Amino acid sequence: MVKYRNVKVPEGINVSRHSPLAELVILSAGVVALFGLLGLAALLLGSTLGRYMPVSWENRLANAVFEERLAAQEASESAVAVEADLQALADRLAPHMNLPEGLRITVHYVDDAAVNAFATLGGHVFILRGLVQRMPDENALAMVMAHEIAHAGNRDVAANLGGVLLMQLVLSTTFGSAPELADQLIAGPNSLLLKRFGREAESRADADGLAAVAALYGHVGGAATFFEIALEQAGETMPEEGPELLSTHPLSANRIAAMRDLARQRGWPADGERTPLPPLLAALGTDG
Amino acid sequence: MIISTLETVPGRSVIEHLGIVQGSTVRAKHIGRDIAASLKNIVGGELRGYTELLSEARDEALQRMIEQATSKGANAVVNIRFSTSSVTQGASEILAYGSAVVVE
Amino acid sequence: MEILLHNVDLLVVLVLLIVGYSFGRLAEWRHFRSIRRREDEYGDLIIVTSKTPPAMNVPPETTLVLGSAVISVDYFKRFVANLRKIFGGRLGTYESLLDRARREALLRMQEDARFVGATMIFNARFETSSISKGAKQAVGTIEVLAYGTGVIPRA
Repeated sequence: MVKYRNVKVPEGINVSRHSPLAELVILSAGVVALFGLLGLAALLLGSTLGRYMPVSWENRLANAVFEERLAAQEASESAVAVEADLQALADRLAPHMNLPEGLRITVHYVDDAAVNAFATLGGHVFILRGLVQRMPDENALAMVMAHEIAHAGNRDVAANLGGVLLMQLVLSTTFGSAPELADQLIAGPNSLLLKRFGREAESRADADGLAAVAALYGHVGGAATFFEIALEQAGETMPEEGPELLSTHPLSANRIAAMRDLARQRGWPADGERTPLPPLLAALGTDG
Repeated sequence: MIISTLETVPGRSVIEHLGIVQGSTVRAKHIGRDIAASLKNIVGGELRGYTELLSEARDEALQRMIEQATSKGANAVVNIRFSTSSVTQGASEILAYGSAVVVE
Repeated sequence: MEILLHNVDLLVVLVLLIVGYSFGRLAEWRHFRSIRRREDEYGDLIIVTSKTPPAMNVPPETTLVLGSAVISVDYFKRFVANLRKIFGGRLGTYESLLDRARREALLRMQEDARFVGATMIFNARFETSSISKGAKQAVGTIEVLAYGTGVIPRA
């Protein structure tokens, strides 16, 4: 005779014992790490691709991104004149800089008190009023400008763009919100595009800029002025108000030393006759 | 533990029925396997990753069913059946169930 | 905080996670409590997967009995499961869903059997299906059907 007896089963055999919150934390950390690595890989690959992108593509891109916006900007007559003076200086520097074919340097003057200058896509270099005002002579200004031109010439901007874009592409395809994120990073207030070239790129731009200045003036006097100002400012307003250009660059003291070493190696005279700023530019300093 | 899809264990008679026992699990393969499988889908053929996934899940489900049977004091599970369903894409849920019995 | 205000999506996800976790956990805890209580209640009504009922002096009456339950998984568990799917492995958060659904279905089948006066259920089977699928975001909702043959002894 078969007996029938229903026996209760203990709990938890078909349910894994685990803490869901802990699982969430571990998995989230894993996902963040995974996408971090993915993003980093894309950044590196993208910057390599960007650096070797043909100049004509870069120009076309720059047209699409900046030209319209720049054209819409209204500039006063005096600003146009200042810009012309700055452009003239750039045109004198450019032949000494071994720029890639097809890359034309266009200087823009921005009426802003910050002591800053930056290079963006397609050889557009922005010089801010605050910078010009602090420059005692043309040699000092030329060094900063040559440094920025070197960034454009070394394709640092294009590399940056390529890296950021590819990273955005990869991350946004995985997260599925491509347009907004990418837009925010390229044109938004936190635009990555305008800053951060990495230490190596900065040192190279310093060296190339210095070479151009030496070739133009026959000596490297005044080249370190900007960094001396940076050092001096570091004491005052560094934390938040300090110019971005300064805060993201390698330590100014090191750069001054590196430039001095380079000048000695190449046999460039450490100082010589300083060229005064063109009258218009010099005038900016006096009324500031 | 005797596990069988037959109603009885040949040569041994069932002396007691202890009720239904079941084991189940839900498993997924990592996303790389999913991508590989979707590529393999183009040419067809066996999706080894998924075969492996299902057999792992089945083993685990059986194991859990046996655990339930043991806890009931059974020494055999008869009339076992499997059931597969997909709760969510890319994951497989396997259920194994049967009758826990005591045989001579 | 600022980053949250700027990313409303993120905020929504976070709120849903918290709501899903707390309410889902509460609902699950209550459900399991009710399941355990009713399992004790129907403890004497045995379910067997074998096909042949025991020989009885008077042949029993038999009838189909069934029970089903549809259970959905909360936002939190779905989120964790989706993360888990990236790395592979056991989707622990779905296991309790299935356990609940299946035991609930069994209980309802037993309830049905009790209602018709059966004392045992033979040839019991499960059928699991997920209702809401096809869309890109497959919602973890499942229906479990338990069915078998209720044996009603005749005096």
